[in-house]
Amino acid sequence: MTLETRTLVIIPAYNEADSITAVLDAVRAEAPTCDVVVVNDGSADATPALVRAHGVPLLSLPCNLGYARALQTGLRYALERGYGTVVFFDADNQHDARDIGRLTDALAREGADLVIGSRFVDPAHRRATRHSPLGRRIGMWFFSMTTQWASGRRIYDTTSGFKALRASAARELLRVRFVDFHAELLVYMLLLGYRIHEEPIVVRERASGQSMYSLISTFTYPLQTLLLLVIAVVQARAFNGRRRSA
Amino acid sequence: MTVQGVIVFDLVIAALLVYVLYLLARNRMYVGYGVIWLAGLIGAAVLVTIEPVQALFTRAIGAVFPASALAMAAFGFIILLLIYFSVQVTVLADRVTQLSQHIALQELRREQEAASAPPRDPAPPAP
Repeated sequence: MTLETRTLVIIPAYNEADSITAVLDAVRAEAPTCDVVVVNDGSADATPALVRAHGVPLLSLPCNLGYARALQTGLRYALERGYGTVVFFDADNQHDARDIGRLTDALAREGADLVIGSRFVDPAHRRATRHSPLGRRIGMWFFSMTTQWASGRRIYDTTSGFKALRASAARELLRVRFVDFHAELLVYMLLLGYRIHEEPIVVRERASGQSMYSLISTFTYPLQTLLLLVIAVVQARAFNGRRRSA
Repeated sequence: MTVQGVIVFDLVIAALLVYVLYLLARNRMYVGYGVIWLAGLIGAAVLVTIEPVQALFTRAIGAVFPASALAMAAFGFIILLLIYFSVQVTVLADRVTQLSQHIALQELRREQEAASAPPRDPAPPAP
């Protein structure tokens, strides 16, 4: 395997002791050629001990920095080690590790810089999500539409935590202080001219652990996302302006 | 404001000034924040005590009564200070992020180097 095609799977984990072992087993079995690193985002449970017991490299943050900054830590590690491709994979066992290969293949096949494991791009999958709570579906539609408004391109699944990206695109993600790493990241990259592709995937329902979205965030998250999109547009335009003048 | 009111206000400001200076002397307040508090307190004392300044300020901001002008000044000062502290907290949070990421990357690097290093020869027995 050449340096350019080395792939690193980054798994951010916060209090995921119930699922992390199963996730690592699955990734090892289904993506044996990929390297893996877990970013422990200040977990208070046995997550770091379980990862160490598994023999997987562990980046242990001394305090909880949040999802985006945990991923950025993994990105720094990937770029320091010269990986050509990076995959973000959630630690809650909702994703199928067999899809890692599909996402990295899609990077080359579609000539994309970033591939999103998308639950909604395929109409059949969209129909399968009709059993989801109405509030969540409205939220997904809202984020999809606001992303389109901000970038001019419809992204069906803006909140997927399963993504594959090239190192060149990964480098871009370290220059900005992202908060959410979902819609804001997509808008920023689209406005900078990066190519994004959505690859259909199916996710399992979370069996254990706690979602990072609380009841309060159900109301504050849409507002925060709107603000983040505005900031992403301003930052991307400023960056493009500097690039043109340079 | 009555003379009694001005005296009470100045006494309160003097007490706060002493408290801020005490915190600065004990290194319990960063000098940069101390300067802002001292400037704010002295400014408030000047506004309340010197009547022509108060009248000028009241006219300048378009208030009718000096009391409303003072309330507006206090409100503006508090809002500015809160924004300033939000910025400072953000700067500190960014530094904590950088530090935490650095620690995590260094620790893993050290662990991997220790794991890949050849085992050391046992020390020769003491004569």
